[in-house]
Amino acid sequence: MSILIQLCPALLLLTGILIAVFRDLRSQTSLLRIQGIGLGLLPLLLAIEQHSVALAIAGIIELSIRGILLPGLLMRTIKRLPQEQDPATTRNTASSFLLSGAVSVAAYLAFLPLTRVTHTQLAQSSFIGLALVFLGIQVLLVRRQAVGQIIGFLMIDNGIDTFGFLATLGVPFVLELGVSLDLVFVILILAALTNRMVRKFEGTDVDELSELGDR
Amino acid sequence: MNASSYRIWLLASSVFTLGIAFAGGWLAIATLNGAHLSLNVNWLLPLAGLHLRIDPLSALFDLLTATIAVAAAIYMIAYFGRHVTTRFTLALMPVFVAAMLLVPMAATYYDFWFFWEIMAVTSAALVLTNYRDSATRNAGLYYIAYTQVGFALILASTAYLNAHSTTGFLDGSGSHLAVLSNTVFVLSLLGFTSKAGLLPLSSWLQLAHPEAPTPVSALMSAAMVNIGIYGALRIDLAGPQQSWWGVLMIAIGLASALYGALHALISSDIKRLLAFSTSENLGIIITALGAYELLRTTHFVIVAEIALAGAILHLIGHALFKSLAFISAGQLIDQSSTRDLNRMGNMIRRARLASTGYGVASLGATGLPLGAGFIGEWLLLQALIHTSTSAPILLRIVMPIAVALLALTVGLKVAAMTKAFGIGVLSRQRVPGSSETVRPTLARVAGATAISLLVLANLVFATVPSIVAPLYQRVADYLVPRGRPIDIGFSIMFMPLKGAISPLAIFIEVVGSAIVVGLLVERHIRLQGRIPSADLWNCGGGAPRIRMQYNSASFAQPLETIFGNALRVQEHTDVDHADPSGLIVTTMVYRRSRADIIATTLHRLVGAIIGQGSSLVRRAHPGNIRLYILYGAIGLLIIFMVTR
Repeated sequence: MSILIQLCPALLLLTGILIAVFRDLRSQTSLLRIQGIGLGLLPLLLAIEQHSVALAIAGIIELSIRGILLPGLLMRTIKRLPQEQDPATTRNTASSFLLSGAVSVAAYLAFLPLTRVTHTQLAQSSFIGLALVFLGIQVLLVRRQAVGQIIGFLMIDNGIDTFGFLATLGVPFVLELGVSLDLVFVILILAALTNRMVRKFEGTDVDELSELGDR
Repeated sequence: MNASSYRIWLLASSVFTLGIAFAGGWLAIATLNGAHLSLNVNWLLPLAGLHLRIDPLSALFDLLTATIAVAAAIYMIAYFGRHVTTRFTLALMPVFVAAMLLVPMAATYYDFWFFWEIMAVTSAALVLTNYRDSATRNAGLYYIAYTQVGFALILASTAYLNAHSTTGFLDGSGSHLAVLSNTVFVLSLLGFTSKAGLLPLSSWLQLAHPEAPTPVSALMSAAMVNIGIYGALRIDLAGPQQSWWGVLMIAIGLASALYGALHALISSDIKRLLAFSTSENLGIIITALGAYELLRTTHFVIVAEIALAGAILHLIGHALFKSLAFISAGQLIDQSSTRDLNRMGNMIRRARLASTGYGVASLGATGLPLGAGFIGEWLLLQALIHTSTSAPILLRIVMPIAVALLALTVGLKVAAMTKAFGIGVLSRQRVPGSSETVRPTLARVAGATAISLLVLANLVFATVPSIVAPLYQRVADYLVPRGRPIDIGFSIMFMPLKGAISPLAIFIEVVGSAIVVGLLVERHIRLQGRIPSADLWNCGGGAPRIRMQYNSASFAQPLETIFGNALRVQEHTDVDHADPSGLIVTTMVYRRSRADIIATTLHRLVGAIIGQGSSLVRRAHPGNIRLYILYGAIGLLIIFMVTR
């Protein structure tokens, strides 16, 4: 059982790197779904090990919101998008890979002082949360389409959640619920905005938004 | 508010101000008599509590403020009785005086900042008393901006000192002195000299003092500016120094003195002229302090003490003659209903006492013998010319230049004060006399009392400066513990050096010879008979007309031409024509304005810096959303790197 628990953070980091590297929005969304499921599995497995009901409920909420609801909402939005001609990212796959690696290492280095003072193995892997945050920022930076940026945003939030959970082994249940519900609303609003962008500008390339800036 | 209730408010405010002034003066005198007064209340003020303490240095400034405040509190009955104001203004007067008394008493940095800011805010509100006038609003805005910039500089520098002090107390037995670095010195000096009305942050002074009500101008120009000097003495001159600090102070002081004297020369607004004179005299005081600093760092201790004595005596003299000048100028303005010297005239007949007071004050401001400003300047000059030939090269360069510039300043201010008194008071009446308004007796008595008290104080100080000798000894002992303060008796002399003076002897000589000359002339006239005056060949003209007499512009014109580059006087003649061809002139208006070049340059510089900065910020905001995200990411990284 404990090996499975140890594997979960690794799964999160792997999906994070792959999301940062992949260019296709649908495969990115599928990876985000896997990541969400992994994030939900972590408290569930811990709950089985520690026989804790609260952790189990938190895990079910995580799983249903991050693993099923949010990627589902995102997929629906993507299906409505027109087929866009221009490349969806500003970087090619190889350089994205390199960048992701560098970001993960940077996150690990930034967390070295913290990991030294923690004792459990799970807490020592909490740097993965920070790595996910940086990878999310990377996605935000290189994506040209609004939906891609929503994916980055979700990944940042997943990273914060991962960090909170791994470092403290259990975020209070009410807090978890509140944050997750906020996130659902944010994604609903962003999806609605994306739809409006598509209708107005026939595309969701955010570079075009700079034309709106007052120069 | 009806008349009787207003009168009660006015009297209450005046009595209250008087009470505060007497209390402050009493505390100061007790301290000078050797008492150790302090007050510690921990819960009264936020953060640090209320800690007050008077040492001889505070006592000097408190005594000066209290003296001016007594005169101003009496005079405000006369002034505000005529110029009806709001209860708010009346209530602010005692607060302002109390704040000025409390700043030197503050024992901790927190109390210092607190009372300093109370002083700044109340004075700003008092400057804005006649806020319906656009010139007043402009002056108030300038004042608030400059005073806050000055306070920001002081806060930044003293906050640094406070952070390095173990106790938080201002003198804290030398705990802050070790860390008085160059940056801290320059910042705090700029802040304090701004309050003292010195360059480069002085533009508020010539705007705010004329627009404020006269009792407020008197308090600001004779007492509040001193607080700036107090700050410089307390913070900047307390510890070990470097010689270039003294050179910087001399440079600031002489530049301000020269600039103030030049502008006083060409001002025709009587209150603005006095404001420029304040800038000039405070410049002389900071020059003396700079000389003290420079001489002390180069180990010429005896000459340094002469410079210090010059600074302290000129501080006292300036406070006395400037308060008298403002109060009697206020009476002259009320009498003639104008601030323009060119529209006054013949005031010697129309307002005898105020004219006399103004004359005594002008004599003090010229820095000539028999005036209250003489002794301080003479001591400064002695300190400057007694540079030994064995002195370092720096002293041998700086001191002669300072002597030359000081001499030029004195020449210019003699011209300016002669103009102010001659054109404003002694000349023939130009504008048909305003009908003398009947004033309530109490107001007239109050005005006369204030002026008489100050005239008396001026004359006594000018002839017998030794009455402030105990005060000076205590302050000098406090500032230079192991020094040997010079002896100020009936004649002032410094033993190891050549030089002595006795103002009383000069007074007796001048008055005596004037009486003898007068008697001889009278006798000559009696023997020969008066020479009959007759019209000379006058081209058919009769007696000279009023418009032929000198006015303030014609008086200053030769000097104005010489210093044209520095003054930037602009002249405009607007001509209106009655016909399209422009042959018949209906009206012709001549206007003269001068640009304050320091302020203009400073404001342009600040504007350019802000413009550059904002264009840089604008360039960083191109509207690209991914760039903003990158900024966020970099910020996050920096936070992680810093906190690890």
